[in-house]
Amino acid sequence: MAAEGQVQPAQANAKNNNYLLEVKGLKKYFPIQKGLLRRTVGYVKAVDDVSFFVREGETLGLVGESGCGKSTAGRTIIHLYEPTAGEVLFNSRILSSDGTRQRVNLLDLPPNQLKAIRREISMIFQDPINSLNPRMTVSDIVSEPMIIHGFSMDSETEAVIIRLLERVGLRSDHLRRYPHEFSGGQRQRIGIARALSLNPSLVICDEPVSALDVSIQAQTLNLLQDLQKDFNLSYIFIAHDLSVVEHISDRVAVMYVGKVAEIADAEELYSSPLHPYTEALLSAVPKADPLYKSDRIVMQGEVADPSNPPSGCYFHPRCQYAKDVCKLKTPEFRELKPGHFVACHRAEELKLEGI
Amino acid sequence: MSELLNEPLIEVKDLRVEFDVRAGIVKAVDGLTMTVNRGKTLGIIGESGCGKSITARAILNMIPKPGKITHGEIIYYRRLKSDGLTQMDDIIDLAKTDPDGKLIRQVRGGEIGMIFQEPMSSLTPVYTAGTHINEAVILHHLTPVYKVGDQIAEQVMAHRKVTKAEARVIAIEMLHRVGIPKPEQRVDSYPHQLSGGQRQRVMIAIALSCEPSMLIADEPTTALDVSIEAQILDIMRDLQQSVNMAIMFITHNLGVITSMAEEIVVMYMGKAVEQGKVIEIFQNPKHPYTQALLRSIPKLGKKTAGERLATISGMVPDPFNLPTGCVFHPRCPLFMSGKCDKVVPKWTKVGDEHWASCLLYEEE
Repeated sequence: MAAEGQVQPAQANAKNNNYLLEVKGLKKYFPIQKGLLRRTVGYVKAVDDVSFFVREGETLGLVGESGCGKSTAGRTIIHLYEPTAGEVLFNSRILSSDGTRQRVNLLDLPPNQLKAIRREISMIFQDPINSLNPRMTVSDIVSEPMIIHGFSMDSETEAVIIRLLERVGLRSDHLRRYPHEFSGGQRQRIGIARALSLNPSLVICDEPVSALDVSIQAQTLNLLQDLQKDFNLSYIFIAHDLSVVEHISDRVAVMYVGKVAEIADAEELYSSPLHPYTEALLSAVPKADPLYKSDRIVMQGEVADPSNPPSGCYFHPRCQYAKDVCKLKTPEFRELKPGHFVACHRAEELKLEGI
Repeated sequence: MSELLNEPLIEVKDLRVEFDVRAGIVKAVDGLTMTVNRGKTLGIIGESGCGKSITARAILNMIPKPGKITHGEIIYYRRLKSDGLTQMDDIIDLAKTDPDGKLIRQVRGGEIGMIFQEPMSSLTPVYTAGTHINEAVILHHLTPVYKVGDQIAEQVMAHRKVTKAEARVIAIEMLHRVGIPKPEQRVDSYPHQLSGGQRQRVMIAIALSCEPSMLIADEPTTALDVSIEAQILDIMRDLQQSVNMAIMFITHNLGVITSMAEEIVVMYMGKAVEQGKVIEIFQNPKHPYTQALLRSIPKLGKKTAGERLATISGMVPDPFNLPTGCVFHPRCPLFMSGKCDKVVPKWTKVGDEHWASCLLYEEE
C-alpha cells in the first residue's frame, strides 16, 4: 500500500489508545450557488473543524440541536459526503494482511479500498419507513449489502440472515415479507439487521430511536446495547434526545453550529459541564419528575445560521456568560481536564451546573 | 373567576369513536370519560395510536372520515363573552352538533383553539376533500399563499367584529406576545420564511388571538429543539395565566407533560387507564401500563453504567382483533390468569383524585 510508510507511527499510537476511529479537523462546507452561472456566493459550514475519537467497543454520543451538523458529520465520516478537509483515521481489519488492524485515512483511500472498508462501517437511519425499499422483501434488504460485497446468495448466506433476524428479535418467517407489513419498531430492527449483516466494527446510528414510541424505543435501545456486547461494536450515536444519549453513551460530544463545543465522559458531561451551551441544553430538557424544580436557563433566540455564523464564539449571542472576548475570538478546543475537552474562553472560571 | 374550585369546562362522558374501514371497525376511542376544568391544564399521554389525537378532534367535532362518534357526550359549558358585561351561560353537547353547522364553527377557533404538531403539514392529509373544508380549520392552517399577518387578521375578523386595520394591529400585538422579534416586519412574512419555532409561535398566536376558553395542544413541541421547546412551553404557561385559559395538552413526552399539566390522563388503546394529579401519577402510578411506561424512559442524570431499560413486552395489539378482558393483559407483567383475560376492568378510585382501570384495585 502506498501510504504504508506514514501509517506505521500512527498504528503504534493507536495500540496505546485503542482508538478505532479518529477524526481530525474534519470540515464539510456546502457551497451556496446563485445566479445563472451558479456562482458560489458563500458556504454553509455544516461541519467546521471537528475532531474526536471513538475507542473500540465504546459508544460516542453526538448531540445537538437540528442543523448543528451532527448528521452531516456522521455521513462525512463514512464518506457519503465528500469532505472539504480533514482526516478520518480508521483501524481497519480488512485492509491489513496480518490479521491485526491497520490504520488508514478513509479520505484518501482509492475507491476499491473504500468500498471494502464499508464492510466495517455501517449505518442505521432515523426513519425506518423511508430507509427501507418498499419493493424489497426483508430477505432482499438484509442480504443486499452481502451481495454487493461479493457473497453469493446460497443457503449458507440465508442461514446467516435468519440467525441475524432472530438475533434482532424477528422471526425466520418474516423473511419473505415486505416492510409495510411491519410496525415502526420492527422496521427499525430490519434496519439494524441490515447494518450488521457484514459484521462491521463501527456502526453510525443516526437518530435510530427518534421516530419510535417510548416502549419501542426502550426495546430498541436494549437491543443495540446487547448487540454491542455480542459483536464488540463501536457506535457513534447521533441523537437530539439528551436522556437517550446519556443512557447509551460512554462519552458524549455536544455540537453547536458545525463545531464541537464539548466532549467528555457521559457522566462527567452531565454532572459537571464546562460549556455554557451544554449547561443550557441540559437545563432546557423537560424532566419527567414533578418534584424536580430548577431555574431553567431559557436560551434566547435560535440556533445560529451556519452560512452566516456570528463572530468569535458562535454561541455568544445566546450565552448568558458572554464577554467581549467571546465576540472577537474563536475559542480554542482544548483539554481542560483529562478526557474533557471544551471550546469556551471562560471555561476555567465559570461554575456551571449539571444535573 | 374562581381559581380554587374546579369548574368544569368540558366533560367527556363515555365517548366512543369508531372508524368503519374495509377490514372492520376500529375503536379509536372506546368509552373515554374525563373532565377539563376552566383555567387548568389536563395532560393526555399515550403511545401512537392510543386515540389521544382523535379525542381532541372529537371535542371540536372534526373526526376525519370514515370516523364517527358513535356514543357518548361531550358537554361544553359555554360562557359567551358578549360585550364583557352580561354573561350568558349555555350547555352544549358538542358530539351532537352538526359538524358543518354554524354553532360548532363558532366554537372552533373562537372558543376552543387548537395547535398541531407541525404547522406546515399537519392538517392537509385529512382535510383535502373540497366541500368539507371548514372555515376555522383553514384559518388555523398556515397556507403558504397568505402572509402570516393576514392569517391572524382573518381569524380575528371571523370571530370578532373588527376592521381590517384593527385586526392587523391585533395580529402584530399577538406576534409580539408570543415572542417573535420585529413583529411589525414579521407580520408580512410568508410561512416558509419563518423557522419551525417561529411557525409554531404563529400557530399559537392564531389560536390565542380570539382568547379561547380552551386550547387543545396536540404535540405542539414534538418537532422542535429543546431550547425552542422550552421557549414555547414558557409562552403557553404565561398566556394561560393571563387569559385564564384551559389547556388540553396531548403528548407522548413524559417530561413535557410534567412541566405543563396539573392532572394527567394515561390512554391505552382508546381507553383511559389511569387519571390523577401529576405528582400522584409519577410518584405512585397504579396501573401496570403507567408503571411500565415510566420505567421505560431513560432518566436524565441518573446514569448507572450498562443498565438496561425496562421494556413493555410485546407490541400494541391489532386494532381489529383486540384482546378480551383488559386490553393490556397480553403485555401486563401482573397478569392474573382467568381474570384479566375475561373481565373488563372498571374505572376505580385508587386514591385522592386518582383513578385507574385495573382489576388489581377492584374489590370482589
